[in-house]
Amino acid sequence: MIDEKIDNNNDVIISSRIRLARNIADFPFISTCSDDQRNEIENAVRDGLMHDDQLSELTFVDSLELESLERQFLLDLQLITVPDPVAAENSDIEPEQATTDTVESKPATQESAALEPAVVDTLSSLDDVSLTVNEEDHLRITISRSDLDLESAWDQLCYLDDRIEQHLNYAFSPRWGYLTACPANVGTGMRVSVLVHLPALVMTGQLEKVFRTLQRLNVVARGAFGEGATGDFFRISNQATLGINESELIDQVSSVIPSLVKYEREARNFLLAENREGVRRDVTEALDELCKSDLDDPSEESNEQVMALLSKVRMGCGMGLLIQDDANRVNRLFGLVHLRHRLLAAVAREDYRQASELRDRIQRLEHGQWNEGRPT
Amino acid sequence: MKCQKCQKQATFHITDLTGDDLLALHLCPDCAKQYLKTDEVPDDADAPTMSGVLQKQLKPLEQAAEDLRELDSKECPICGISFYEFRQAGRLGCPHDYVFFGSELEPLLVNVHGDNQHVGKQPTRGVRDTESQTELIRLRRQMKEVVEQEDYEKATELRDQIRKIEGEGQSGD
Repeated sequence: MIDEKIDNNNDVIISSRIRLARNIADFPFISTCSDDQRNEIENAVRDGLMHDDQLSELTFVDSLELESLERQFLLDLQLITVPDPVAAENSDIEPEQATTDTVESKPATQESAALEPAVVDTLSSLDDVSLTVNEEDHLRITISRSDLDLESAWDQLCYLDDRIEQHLNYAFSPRWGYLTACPANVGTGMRVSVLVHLPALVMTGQLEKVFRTLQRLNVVARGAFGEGATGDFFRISNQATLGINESELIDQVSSVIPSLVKYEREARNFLLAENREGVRRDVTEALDELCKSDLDDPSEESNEQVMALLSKVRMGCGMGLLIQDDANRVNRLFGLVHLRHRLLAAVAREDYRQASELRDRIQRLEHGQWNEGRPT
Repeated sequence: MKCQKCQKQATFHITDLTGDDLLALHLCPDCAKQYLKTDEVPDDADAPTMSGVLQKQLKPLEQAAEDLRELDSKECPICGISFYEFRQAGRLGCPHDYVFFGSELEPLLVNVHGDNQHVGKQPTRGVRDTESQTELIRLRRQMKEVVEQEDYEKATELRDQIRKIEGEGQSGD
């Protein structure tokens, strides 16, 4: 039995991110762009970045291919760290590669660039950066982190934004700030968000009350992966983007997180006090079913099912309800999902050498040879 | 009191002369408007009729609808998007829309953000005004059009103009 709880609030906080919306002044916004103009925008971004010694190693990946990576959310969720020595050593399930944001945004129409780790190093170890071209805005620059250090994330993102701006004319007005296609993003163009897992607040029916309080603090909570049965995951983000500066926006969002973590933990303790065995049974059953489910099934129904199961398992991990064997199964599962994700990304950028290595590792892992599946 | 033609609240109480009879009507704004529209005012009536007076009272309602229609059909000269299209999609067509639809957007922005002035980061290369930003969009569109018409002389002119503005942007002001 594993009794120790997860450190760093990871039982509730999954990840955090900051996204900047930027548009190039010389082109109309996406909704009125012709196909030619979209290509020109893509080329302008590509040319600009190519001429920057620190950004020139960007790998462009066709986001149409990346759309098949609908399991990006699972990748986010693999940050579940079951207190398990295997997981601690297993760097393979650490996030190490940037990917496009396929969760919140509408499907991209053009290209996305992913920063490779080599570039990340020169940018003082950016955790996870992605640039998306031609979605709702010409350019969306996102930095994601597995912790809550949003201030240093902002320093890095701001630096990256400055570098990109050396090559592109951003649409900006002194009055309205960075001009965006949707007026809800105008001003800083910045959305700070923290992905949280609040199953116990949902189960105990306290969510609405908590969210109403957030709203009074100008912070909004949205279902992170759609509403309904799978709605235990939420993005907590800033409401306004105009008339408040970037540091204040970060404060606004991060200041509500400690209370949120506290309320969720209290609700979990309440559930345990009520019916510890019942909760444990639920979690174990969910894990059994999760191991049997087809993670490659792209249908929405399957997504919802997987998410609901995952939510229970994750909560069980956070509550210390899983035994070592269960923890290993969870890690194996997430290891597999992560490897499949990387395989798709490798194929997308035509890196077939890495693709073949990844394929072999996936096959070994699928046949239960967990140790062999671990990275060397 | 309820409208005599539908179940809505009657807010117009009309007394009209039809021949020698007095006709009292209690109508909601919609039915009143309908009634007054179909009511034929005699051409030779010199004196203002009751209907005429009420017609004037109804003017503000029609005016509001008319204003909205007019606003909806307003089109940005740079990207061609109408205000109606923006209202439907919630997305603007180009940076100039913030200027062109400025007075309509401002209350919306204040409502969403609680403010109407940007604070925070600015582009490090210096800010060009919105006019020269959108000028480029306009000139490029024009250049494309004249190229399609094979008017390369005009295209050269436009290209040079574009380069000049781009050059000014590069110099940092």
